[in-house]
Amino acid sequence: MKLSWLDTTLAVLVKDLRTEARARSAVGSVLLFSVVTLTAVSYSLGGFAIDADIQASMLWIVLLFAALAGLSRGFVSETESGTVLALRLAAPPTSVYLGKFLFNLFLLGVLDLILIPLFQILLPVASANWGLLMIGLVLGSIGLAASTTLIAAIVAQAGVKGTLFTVLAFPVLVPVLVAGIGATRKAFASEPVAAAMPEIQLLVSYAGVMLAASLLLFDHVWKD
Amino acid sequence: MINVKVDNLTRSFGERLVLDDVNVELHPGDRLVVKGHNGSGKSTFVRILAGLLRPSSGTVLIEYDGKPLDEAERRIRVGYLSPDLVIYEHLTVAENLDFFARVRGLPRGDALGATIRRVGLEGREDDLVGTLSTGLRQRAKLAFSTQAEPDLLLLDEPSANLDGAGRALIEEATVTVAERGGIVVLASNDPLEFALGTREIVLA
Amino acid sequence: MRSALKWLLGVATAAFIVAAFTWAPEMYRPNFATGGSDPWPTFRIVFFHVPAAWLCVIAFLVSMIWSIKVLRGYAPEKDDKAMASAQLGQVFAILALISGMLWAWRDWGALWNWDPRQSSVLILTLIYAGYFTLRSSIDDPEKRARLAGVYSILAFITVPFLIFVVPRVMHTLHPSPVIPDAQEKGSMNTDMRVVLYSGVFCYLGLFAWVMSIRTRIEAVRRRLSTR
Repeated sequence: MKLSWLDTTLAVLVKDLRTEARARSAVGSVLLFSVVTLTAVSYSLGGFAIDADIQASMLWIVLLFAALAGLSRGFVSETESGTVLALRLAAPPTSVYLGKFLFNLFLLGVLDLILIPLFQILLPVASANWGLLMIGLVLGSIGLAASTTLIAAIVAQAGVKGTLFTVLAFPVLVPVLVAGIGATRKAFASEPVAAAMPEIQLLVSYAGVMLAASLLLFDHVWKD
Repeated sequence: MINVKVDNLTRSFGERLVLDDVNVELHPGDRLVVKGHNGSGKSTFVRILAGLLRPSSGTVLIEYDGKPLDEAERRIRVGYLSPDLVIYEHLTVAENLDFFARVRGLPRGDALGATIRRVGLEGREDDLVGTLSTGLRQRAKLAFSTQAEPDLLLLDEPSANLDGAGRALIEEATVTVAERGGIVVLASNDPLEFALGTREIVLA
Repeated sequence: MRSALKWLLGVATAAFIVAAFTWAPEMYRPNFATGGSDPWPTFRIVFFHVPAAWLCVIAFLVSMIWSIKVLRGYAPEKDDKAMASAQLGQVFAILALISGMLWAWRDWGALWNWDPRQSSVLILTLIYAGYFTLRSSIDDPEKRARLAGVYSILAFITVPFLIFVVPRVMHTLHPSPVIPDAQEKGSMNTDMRVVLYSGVFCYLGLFAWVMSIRTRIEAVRRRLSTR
């Protein structure tokens, strides 16, 4: 039987989405957490006029916190429920990683879609280069998903511990945070996409490098 | 044809020595029963054969047609069933088997129906696994282990939670694999299961 | 390490320390009020600060290399080396941070000035902390070596981003006051460079020496526990 990488990866993704739709553990709590964080942030800033720089930072802080709260579920849920054994026996490791990566990307996508409008309501920006904002968010999400998926696998294998994921993931995510905020700041200042080239280059190279490294390293995490 | 050769297999967990110099050679048609009291390493032995654990020292060679199994082949030619195996509770039996067939690269569709009928779960395939009784769940797990029609079937206490009909299914699976020229390894403390074997080893 | 080498290291380090305070020429910085230059004695911290920062990264690199080796084939000695170099890297990182903060405090009155390089060393410290937290949460030695090794490699890949790429981007984010590092690299004359590089050399020697002690301790510990 010929193994199609696309098919096996999609199988993992569809399985996760289906389980998610029924158990609703990841999406719900991540969304709720991000809304709560955003509310807390805007409440504490409420009334004060804040400039675009701080707004950009706040957006990414909320995004980062939500990511740290929710992106470890993909692997930790498998270990907690015990299904990781069946997965190891039946699925090719690369497909497992890619499937979980795509699932995390999906989570971040949903997050972005909910967060941006909410942000516009609570901490509105007068005008912005929305295209640049989208680019920054998409590229940043890919980078976020790439490194957090591998770290989630490490944490799941090590034995579940709430704060370990955050402790391990944050330092590795700093480049995404810095570049993401930079691009978003320029977007809020309505600068053209070309002005954010350094940030975009950083985000693209980070995402590429992290994805490649994760694919190479995943086998070592997955197999005993 | 599949062959298994275990030479000087030793496995420790930290300071604790669990398997000490185990040697056995298995040929097509063999049905090996692994006996030993609790903690003697029966489950560890089976896990090593399944590729889930690595030996501390010694070698385990599983060959098909003279060539050692690679990762992709292992997923199809080796079936594993144990108490700690868990399948997805939020998916139905059919969805579980379809998913596992997909990631293993097995044909989907009709073959699934045959697998479900073989373990006597027809009519229950659209029930969420989490809603099944432990006995039926064990049958679903058996379906997971046998769906690829493995050449090496590894069973660890397979009859736990099974009624008479369920035990018959285990026996049927064992006989089917052996008659096809496969090998069965069954780790157990259950005297009823001892009868399923043609050979035995006892772990100290 | 053989006694002769140890003595050599001791003498060299002593010479380096003395040279940093005496032989290295005085550094000046512009006085915008008078239009002239003032002596800048606190500049001498650079001879201790910069090598610490270098060693911090070098130690991390060494740790990553041993992590790669451990992933290729497990042996407790390889894992010991990965861990020992990470511990030393952590120490150097803290030294670099403290010396940097002291310098900034004496010169500018503020302990932290968001210099991108300063922040990268801080992030590096966080990475080390994560590495050790991960290690302490796994009991099985092989698993510990494997998972910590993977994290070490992944985290090290972030370092080039932190050191080279992020500063370019961050300059638009944090306009910083006069950056001590940038100034000194440009305006150091040869004599100063000699002292600086000998500092790096001495720190390297210290690193190698403590590494060898550390790994020997771990080997003895293992021998004792299996008896």
